[in-house]
Amino acid sequence: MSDQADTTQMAVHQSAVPQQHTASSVSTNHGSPAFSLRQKLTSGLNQWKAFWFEPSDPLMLAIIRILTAGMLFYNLCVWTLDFEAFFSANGLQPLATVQKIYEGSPVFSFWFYVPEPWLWIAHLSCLAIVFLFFTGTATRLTSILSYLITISYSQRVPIANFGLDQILGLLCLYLAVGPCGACLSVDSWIRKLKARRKQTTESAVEAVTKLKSSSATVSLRLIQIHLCVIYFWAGFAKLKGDSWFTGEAMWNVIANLEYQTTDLTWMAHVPWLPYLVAHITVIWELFFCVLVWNKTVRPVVLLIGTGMHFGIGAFLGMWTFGLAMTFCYFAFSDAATVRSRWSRWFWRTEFGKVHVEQPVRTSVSAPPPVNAAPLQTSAIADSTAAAPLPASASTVAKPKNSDSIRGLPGTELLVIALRERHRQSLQKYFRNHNVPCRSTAHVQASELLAADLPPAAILIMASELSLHQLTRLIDDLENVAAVPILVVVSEALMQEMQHREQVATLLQAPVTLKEIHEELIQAIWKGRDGFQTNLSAPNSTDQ
Amino acid sequence: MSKFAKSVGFFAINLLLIWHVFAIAISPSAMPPASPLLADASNVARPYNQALFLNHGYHYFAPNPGASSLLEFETAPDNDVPQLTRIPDATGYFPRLRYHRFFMLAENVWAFGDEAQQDFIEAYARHFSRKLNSPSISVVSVSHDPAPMRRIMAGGDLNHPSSFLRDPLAEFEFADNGDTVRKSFHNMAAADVDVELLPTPMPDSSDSDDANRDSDSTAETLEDTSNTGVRPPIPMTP
Repeated sequence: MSDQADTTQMAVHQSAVPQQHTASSVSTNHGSPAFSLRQKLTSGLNQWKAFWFEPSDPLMLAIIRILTAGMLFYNLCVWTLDFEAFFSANGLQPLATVQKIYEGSPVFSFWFYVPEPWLWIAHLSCLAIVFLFFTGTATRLTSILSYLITISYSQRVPIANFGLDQILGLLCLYLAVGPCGACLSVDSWIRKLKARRKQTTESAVEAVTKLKSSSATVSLRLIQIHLCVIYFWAGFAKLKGDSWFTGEAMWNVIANLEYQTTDLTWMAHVPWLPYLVAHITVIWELFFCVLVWNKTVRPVVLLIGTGMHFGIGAFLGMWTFGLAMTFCYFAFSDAATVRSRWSRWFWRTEFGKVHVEQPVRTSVSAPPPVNAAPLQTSAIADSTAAAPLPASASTVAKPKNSDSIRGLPGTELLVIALRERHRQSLQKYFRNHNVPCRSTAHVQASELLAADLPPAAILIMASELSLHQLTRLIDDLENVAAVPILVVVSEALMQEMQHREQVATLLQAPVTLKEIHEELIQAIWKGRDGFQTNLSAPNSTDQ
Repeated sequence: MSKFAKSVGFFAINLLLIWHVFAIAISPSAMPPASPLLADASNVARPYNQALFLNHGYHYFAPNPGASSLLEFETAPDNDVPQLTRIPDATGYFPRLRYHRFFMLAENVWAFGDEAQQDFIEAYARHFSRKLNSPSISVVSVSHDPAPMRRIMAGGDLNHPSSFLRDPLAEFEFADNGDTVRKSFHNMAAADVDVELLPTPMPDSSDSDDANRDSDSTAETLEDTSNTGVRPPIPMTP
């Protein structure tokens, strides 16, 4: 379909601007090495830009913020128990000795400058600031202050530091870089209140789009890369020791009474087990930095890491360090997937009541185009009205939260197409045929959209999707919106899909827009769950 | 903002990102053993890493997890009742994070030069003399080896006396106001430390591995060990 429709569209464009097309073909020698190098450099630069600066959803940053700030707050609370012992000038870490260690180094700690009588006031202030950071209040300021607090505490008591302080330091640094208070925060709640007062409304998708920023991407990438650096060197360092090669290292950890919180010495009777764990640990740490970037194996890699760190917490008593490491894993999570999975709860807390846009209504007197069969324009109640798609049975009843949801649910067509030209072609066609239509290129956002609208039908252009992606998308859409789903697939995908049990109607490409239109009508009329009883038969003019 | 300013800003941000990734990646490479090339490269980024608290080795339980370092504090007999306290003490410190902080006091003190070690040991002694309410206190370094598999298989446990190696460190006497009246250090280099693998020269050590280092640059040596995450090989703790 797409090629045929696009051909039609392309012909129109070509006839309109032939000069441009012709001119562009003679301006550059595409075969020269210089051009090839330039192309590669441009491509590389674009990939670099996309990697670092493509705007992303700050949701995962917000989650990391909450977890990190919570751990930091706990850390400060524990310092409270022995605060004077560690932080007074003549305590366990004499100030003069510590400053002498750092002499000539650009090490910062505000504790070097706080007078002794002010120690407790400063400490309690730090607790308050970190708590504000946890709640996401004045996050731009509290994130920076929390980072300074983290490194100040750590640098003041260098001997008492361990892995937890290192991880908290880097997390707080990167959280200060990105908009970690854009979601799940008091700041976002205040922003929402202000928007309500101004009576501005926006859809959930628009709200997420506004939140996206390049600084969020930079922050997440830095966390990801730093985590890779940590694991690589942790694994590489183990190669310097014999015991990790002989496998004895894990036993030496298990048999260390000062670390032990759970007795694992029974492994002495199963010696191959600690040896295996030792080897897996080294291999996993060394190759984490490569494997984690592959989306297929990423869940396995992160699962192994989670297991390892939970083990460190449960068996070696270092819950704080183990958990802090797993906080970094959220940087590898897909925010849209998280939102779609928990969309109900998130939308209610983040965006409050979501308002759906009114569908586009055309004039009653507007005649349908000659070559198309308008959807149900005369089939539903008013035969002269250019009505939108018929409401599905599931949306005939009053929708939930109807006080907060305006617009007409179940009247629009939702188009999911990764290619922009598909989206444009379809949107133009259906709007010309008085069918309100929304399109999206984002598979994850489509589930949110489907949940919010909900649509009368969903059309998926599956040319860019794999079998797994398509079946998963259909399943997810089926869960959020029980409406007819029409999928345009390639021949190969059609053959694979036919062997599977699924609820969508399949249409094999190439197919015309008109054919899609007709299939949609049939799919809607075929209906689901009592749909047919609510609607009359299609008009003969639709054929 | 003008196009030129945007271009300059974009270039600067990218340069900063490249520098930052280089700095965090090169920092752990200086952990011994390391070539002079890696050490020099790490030195380039050291001030940046120190300022941002990113100068860590990430050598968790590496290269070899070994014995734990503990410190015992024993007061002089008072009414013939000596008191003993030890760090870490699993029963005496809750929650676990607090226990771990005191554990690190015993573990990490050996990462610093002699002078700093003595200052810290003295500070510990002062703290516990107050806690135990005794003006006189002695400090003993204890190294606790992990039990080998064969001992466990033979029915032994992790607390076998032979797994503990005690080495007297120092004695102190403090006045009521905390001032040190008397202090006496034993040979600190004889503490449970594998001297030849120490990254910094011990003034009374016979090790010759660090002959190329400037033994007068005590501050630099101390700074190296404390701020780059360089630690002696006694248990590298996460």
